[in-house]
Amino acid sequence: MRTPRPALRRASAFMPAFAVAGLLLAGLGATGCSKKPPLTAEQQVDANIEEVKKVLRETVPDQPRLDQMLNLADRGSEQLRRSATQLEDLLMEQQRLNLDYKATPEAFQALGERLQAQRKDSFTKAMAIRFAMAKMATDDEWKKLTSEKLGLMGL
Amino acid sequence: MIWALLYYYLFGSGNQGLVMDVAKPVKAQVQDEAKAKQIIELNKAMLKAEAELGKQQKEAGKELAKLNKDRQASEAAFLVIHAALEKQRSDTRKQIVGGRFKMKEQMTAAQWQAVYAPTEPPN
Repeated sequence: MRTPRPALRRASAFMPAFAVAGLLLAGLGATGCSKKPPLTAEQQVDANIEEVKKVLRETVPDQPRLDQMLNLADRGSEQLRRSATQLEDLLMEQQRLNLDYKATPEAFQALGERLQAQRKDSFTKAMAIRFAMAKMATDDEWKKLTSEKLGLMGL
Repeated sequence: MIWALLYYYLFGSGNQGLVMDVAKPVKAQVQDEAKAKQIIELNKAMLKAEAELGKQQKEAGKELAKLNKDRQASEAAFLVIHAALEKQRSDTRKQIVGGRFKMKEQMTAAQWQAVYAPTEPPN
């Protein structure tokens, strides 16, 4: 029987990909305000996308190009979620494998290769969106979108 | 630096579920003190390797963030950082999986289950 996937928001011993990211981001000061409780990583991703879209709206003057870039930002957000879900599935499989006393080194090797392939695929897709965005932006717009001020909240 | 940097933090090492500090449950489950000590040493080495990879990931994240600022940066430049980190991940994984099997050799199936049984069931 397939083990149900944990909710992305739930901090759990089982594959908390978003939770881990949230803690790391909070640790890096990405949430920006130390008095508020740290955001979950899912909330952080949403906040980042909203911030990017806000900067896009303030920065890109022509509507057709702005619409395209906003669309890219949404696609990036969806991609990020899809990747996290795929990763959660693989990591749950890894935890089950580790629990299995009779698991073979070959099984770990195979799972390691699948994890690597998943990372490569997700990285490639993320980069495609990044390059599409960079192609559409002017130098000034890109500077604003990746400014130190925005930090991890930027592109 | 959402597209690249976040990916690194989101993905972690890929060794989640394999590396955890099991010193306490090992002490509780493995009565042979010499064996328990050996297992804990192996576990410590795995944790150390994982921590080292964490540092390397953080550095790679910084490099990616720096590179991302250059709108004209080439895809190849990003892939160089990605490939270097993947190599480090692969090396660390070999070390960790090797350690996992060495630990297992020192334990019975029942001890293994008791040590690694999750404290919280998947729901």
